[in-house]
Amino acid sequence: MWLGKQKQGTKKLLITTLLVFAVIFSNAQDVPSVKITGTVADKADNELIPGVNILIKGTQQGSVTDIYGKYSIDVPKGSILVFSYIGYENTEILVSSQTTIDVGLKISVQSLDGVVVIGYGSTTKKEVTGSIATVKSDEFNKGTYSNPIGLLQGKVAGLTIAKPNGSDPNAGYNIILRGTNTLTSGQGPLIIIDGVAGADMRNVSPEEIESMDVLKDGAAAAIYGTRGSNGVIIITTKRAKAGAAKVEYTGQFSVQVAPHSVQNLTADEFRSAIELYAPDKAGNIYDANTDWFKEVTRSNPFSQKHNLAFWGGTDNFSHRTTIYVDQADGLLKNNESNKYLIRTNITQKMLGDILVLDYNISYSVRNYKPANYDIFYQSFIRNPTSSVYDPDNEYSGGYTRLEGIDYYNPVAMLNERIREGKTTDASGNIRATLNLAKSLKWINFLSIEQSDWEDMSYKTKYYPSILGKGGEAEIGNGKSQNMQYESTVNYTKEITNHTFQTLAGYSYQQQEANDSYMVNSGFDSDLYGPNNISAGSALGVGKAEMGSYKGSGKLISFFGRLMYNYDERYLAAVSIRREGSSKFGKNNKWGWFPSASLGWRINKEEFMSGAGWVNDLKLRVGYGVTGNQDFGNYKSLIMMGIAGKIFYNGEWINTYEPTSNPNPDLRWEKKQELNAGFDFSVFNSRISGVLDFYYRTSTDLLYTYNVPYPPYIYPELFTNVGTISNQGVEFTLNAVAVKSNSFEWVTTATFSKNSNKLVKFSNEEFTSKYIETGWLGGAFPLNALRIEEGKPLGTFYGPVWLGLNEDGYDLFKNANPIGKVDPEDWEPIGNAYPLFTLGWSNKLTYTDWDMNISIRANIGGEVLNMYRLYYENWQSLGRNIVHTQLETPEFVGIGQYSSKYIESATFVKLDNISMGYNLPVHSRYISKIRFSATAQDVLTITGYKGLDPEVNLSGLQPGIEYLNYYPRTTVVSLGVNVTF
Amino acid sequence: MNKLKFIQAICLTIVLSMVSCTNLDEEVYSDIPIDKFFQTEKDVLMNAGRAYTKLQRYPEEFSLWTLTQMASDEMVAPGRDDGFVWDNGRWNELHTHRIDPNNKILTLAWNFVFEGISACNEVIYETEQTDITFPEKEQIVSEIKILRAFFYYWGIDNWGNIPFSDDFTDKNLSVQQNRKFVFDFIEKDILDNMDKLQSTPGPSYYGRVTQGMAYTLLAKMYLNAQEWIGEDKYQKSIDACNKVIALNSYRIEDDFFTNFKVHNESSLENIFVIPMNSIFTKDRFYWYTLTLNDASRATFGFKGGMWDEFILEPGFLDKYTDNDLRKKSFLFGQQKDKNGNDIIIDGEPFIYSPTVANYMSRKKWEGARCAKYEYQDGLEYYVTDMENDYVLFRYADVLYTKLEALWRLNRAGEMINDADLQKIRTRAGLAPLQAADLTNAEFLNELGREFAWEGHRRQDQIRFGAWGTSGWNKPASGPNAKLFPIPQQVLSTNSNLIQNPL
Repeated sequence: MWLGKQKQGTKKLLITTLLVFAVIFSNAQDVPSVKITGTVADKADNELIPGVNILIKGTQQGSVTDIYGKYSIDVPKGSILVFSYIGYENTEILVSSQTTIDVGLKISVQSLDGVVVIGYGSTTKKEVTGSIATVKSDEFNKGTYSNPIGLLQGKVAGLTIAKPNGSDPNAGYNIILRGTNTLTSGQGPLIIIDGVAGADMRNVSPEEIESMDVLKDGAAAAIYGTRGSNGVIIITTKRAKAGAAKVEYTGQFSVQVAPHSVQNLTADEFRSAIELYAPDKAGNIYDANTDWFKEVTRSNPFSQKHNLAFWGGTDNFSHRTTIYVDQADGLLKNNESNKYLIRTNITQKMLGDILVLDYNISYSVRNYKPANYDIFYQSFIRNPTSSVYDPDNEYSGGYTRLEGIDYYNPVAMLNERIREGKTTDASGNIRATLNLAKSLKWINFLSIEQSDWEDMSYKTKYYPSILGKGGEAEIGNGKSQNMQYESTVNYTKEITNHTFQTLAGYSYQQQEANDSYMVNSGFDSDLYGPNNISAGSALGVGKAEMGSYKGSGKLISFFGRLMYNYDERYLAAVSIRREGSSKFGKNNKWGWFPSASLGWRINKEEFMSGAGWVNDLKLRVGYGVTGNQDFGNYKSLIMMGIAGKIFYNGEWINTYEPTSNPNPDLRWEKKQELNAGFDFSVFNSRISGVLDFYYRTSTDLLYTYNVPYPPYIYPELFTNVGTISNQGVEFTLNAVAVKSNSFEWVTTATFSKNSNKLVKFSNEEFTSKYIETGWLGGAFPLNALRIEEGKPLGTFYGPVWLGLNEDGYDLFKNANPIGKVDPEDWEPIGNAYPLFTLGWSNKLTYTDWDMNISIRANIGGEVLNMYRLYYENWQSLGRNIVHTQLETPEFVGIGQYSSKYIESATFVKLDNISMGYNLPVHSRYISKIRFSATAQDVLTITGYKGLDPEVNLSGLQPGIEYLNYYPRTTVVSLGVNVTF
Repeated sequence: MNKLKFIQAICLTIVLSMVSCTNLDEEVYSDIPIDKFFQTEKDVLMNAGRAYTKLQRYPEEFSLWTLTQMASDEMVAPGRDDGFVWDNGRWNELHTHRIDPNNKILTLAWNFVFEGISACNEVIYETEQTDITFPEKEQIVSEIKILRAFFYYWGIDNWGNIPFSDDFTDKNLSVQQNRKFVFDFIEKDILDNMDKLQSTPGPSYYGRVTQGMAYTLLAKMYLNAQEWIGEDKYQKSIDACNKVIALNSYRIEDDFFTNFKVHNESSLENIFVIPMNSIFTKDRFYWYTLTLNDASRATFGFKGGMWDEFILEPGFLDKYTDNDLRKKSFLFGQQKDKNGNDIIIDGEPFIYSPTVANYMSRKKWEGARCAKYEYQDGLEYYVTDMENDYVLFRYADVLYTKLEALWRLNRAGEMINDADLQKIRTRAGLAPLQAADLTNAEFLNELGREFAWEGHRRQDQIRFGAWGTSGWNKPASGPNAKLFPIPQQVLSTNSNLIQNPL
């Protein structure tokens, strides 16, 4: 297959030969021929493409575009030229009178020859046997995202990406693939950016991502062994490219509007509520009318992003360099995020193309001011009739101070604290590919990443929770280094119709991190801020704090893979990985992770040769084993740490104790998965789709179990016991619904359904059949969720609410004599996970205009509304309460946990609407100008009475909307993109 | 092609040398791996000492002390009038004896006791195992054994039938034993180790187990034997008390409050204390935060906010006559600041009133507060907490134990005129006890007055048959309420255990 990146010499030879033949042939024909020249470019971004195949239709003659995208060919008049290149639709042009033909190639929607990135390599869509979804840059979500993973939201069936912290510019996303497979932390997939495993996505500009490939099933992810259990997302950025030097600028300006928060009472509603329903709380009515939410938020926070990319070079030395600046203001005052990133990728060929070196260097600085979510909680509960300032109150620094536990003036919290953080990440990697022979390649990859962070906070003497302390300064900093070395050998062999591709490799990864902190208080002046931390008086009397920590770990593995196909009709792939991690017990540091998958391209069979309407029909099945080691270091060792001090022999001495129960048998969690899939593409690839069924079991689950003590030293032990199973179906349908000369409508719909079950949680030693999680804390010291053997995770357990009795108190099913429900009588009252999730994206193009609309929906599932639980009652008046209590004024009891506060989490969200326009350009200097306008988080349709039913679903306490939250906003952006 | 072969050779060499890199040993930086510990005498001591640190959690907000206090008639935590309810009834469960086995305080109190036992078992094993010897080694092991006995005493006092283990190396689930079994074990262990303990207290034994402490523990065990195991061991209790008296090392202090001062290490009355230090044991002893209102900051010069959570149960203060100096253990009436001026809050004089009008809607000034332990200036929760050493056993306790044992044998007359015994009353400004005063109710009241908030009350109420009667916002509870339920978390991890009858 011609991939277009041949050695300079051979290419020239080929072109010359073809031209010679063309000349000879045309002479022999004696038809008048004309010389046609021109360029071939990508229609979407006007980038010239080298190596495009140009064929005179009906002949074997043709030409190829050079590295500048230019071609020249002698063609008999009246013939048709066929332009073709991988990933694009073939374009045919009739040669008539013109001598210059510039062609724009259109990206093919579902090209079977499209490249799919798999572990340690790539293959084509038609040869893939595992379950892998590829999303290319033109399919990404439009708009502005704090982390590039947001570009994939709703695009891949089975991959749930949610942002439970609203519009906080420093907050991240929760990523879950195919349900929850583990009980410990480490729920997210492995992220690989340009070969660096575990890299940080915040250091990549969204404009620079070429494609994201999601390895969904065990068969595909097994090659990544222990980190593959939650799936793998491989991100490929735009690479160095030879050709004329080009510059591209993309800018985006956004504004947040329409903030959405939990609704409480206004000052007037507060007054009348007390008068009518809680007259004994009349002492809480003051004279002011304060909208606390408004006092602490910006009215229309503004953000901007700028990406400047330039690239070019010769065949032997080319680069792509980007500079990226991202400044975002959060909704909360003083909350912001500023990112500055510079990155370059260089490709160098040496020794006559035998050695190809690929370097990546990047450096990023992120300055941020984090948000304190407690401020939103305090703004909610604070009495709206009390004023913000109280000039006579010297003790509190002129702010109004109301008495109570955990009851602070949010404006004081905002103004009397400085908080800043900075992270500097530098990374470099080099990939050396040695083309030892035509089918033998040896790649060595070395990557080093270093990240430094520092965090400073200063609370002035008037910060509400530390009044009287004289201010408090905190400094924290840390550093982490990650080194990765990989060596792989690839060998391909073709014998008649049999193709073999083998891979063998070794990988070594080491990480090390350390951090320290110091806290001091009692400063004479607030002017120092955190910058003279020893000046605090607490230090002299032993009241300051400091600490430091260091840890490291290693991961070593050997792996191999064999991919085979017969006539591109029968496909098979087998892989094995032997991996060891320093985190596991002495007896179990290494594990085996095999996989096998098969594929059958039915459309290539004899009996299908008549069905021309079928482009691709593939059946595949795969099985793979992956592991999970995403938890802290040193859990298998017994270590001694400081236990406290005692008074012995007249002085205070330190004592020591083991810091956990030892476990030398600590071993890998293993996930086995069986995946069966069906790919189809019909009617010239106008309709295509993928259907996957999967069944996975995770065994030897790691969890902290309660153990009896004595005989153990502590009541907890971190060990392997349980089993979880997940099964489900994923369906993706792609259709080019309308296709005409000027108008096209491409639509993609995804559907996924996952059901999980805790198969086993006990063994001979740990006999408990269930665990309770979802600790609510505060005034509700109870667990809301129960994970039981044989039942699904995420199940809410509690009393069943029957309504109110005639006196206005809660009535429960199976209530005991004092009106409460004993824990034995609690029932399952909901489940946090949705029954199924849907996604629907549409892309409409009309000449130079285009429009994108994305919608997502979760159907089913429940959420616990904590704000209603705490504040939907008259008893809490004195502090503010939720507005929904005005709808049930007859309720006079206090909040008690029950099914009353478990609400349906079904929603439909219009995630983004975007419109773009490509300005037709005829300049020598500018090849493309594009304008776009996007609105994100436009609309949510739901019956949920709280803030947003899309809460955190990863981990063991899904489905709870907690009191500390960050509001949601709709974002409107305008963007411009210019290529020179 | 030669170039190619050359490159191939180099690469192969690099690969081969790399492949030998399969070392997965962990390198630890911030803790000490156990194979590097236990090198010197000091290490052994520091390891053994951790058993004593387990005691330090006793007076915390969620621990054994608050469990027994709240269940007795000495302390309550009502809901506040500003809409803030203390943890939705978990304190109320303890107060009304309707305790859910999942109750957090119940579980943490259990953890306090059993983590103590577990640490003692482990430390005893490790100290006996190690080859390192030093002169005090045997004594330390004996001290820890008595400490373990103390934790077991708390165990059977509060839960009765508890899981028992004295062998650290036994990895099987502990078997549940009844009070008799554990009682006999405690008795034997104490008697076996008694002579290895220090007899005369002194500065280097401050805060450590001594013979005085061990005999006091025995005396209290014997005093409760009738109630716990139905056996009359009152004479043995008297004998144990006499042993303490014979040590001639303890006195009744002239001032009741000397025992509870910030610097109470000079008290000759305290027999066994938990030494506290402002900074080294912060977040352990912080009663000022738990019981006082913000207004009291002006009185004592505290920093930070007060939680205003626990108050003296209304009615208890009436047990004191006005001339009883011990009544000053509690704050009530008009509060004054450091300069002696009345404290005015929101234009009103700030007066702690001993009564509470509405149990679930207490005004912030309602309820008498504890001030038994002296509050030092400038305390701040979690930064510098109280450094008064917490008193577990004191001499007055020994004398009253002997008196009660004699009284139950109808021989109170033998001691009623004892000088030290009388001093307990006279130093409080009261007339000494007369035989006629020793009725069931009045004896209990006197114990309440002397040992208020010292963790005695529940045990005393049970012995005098006053447990389970109805009281202030508290319905009557049956005989099963004499034992706390075993926490659910514990039942689910040890299938050998059965729940106490609820």
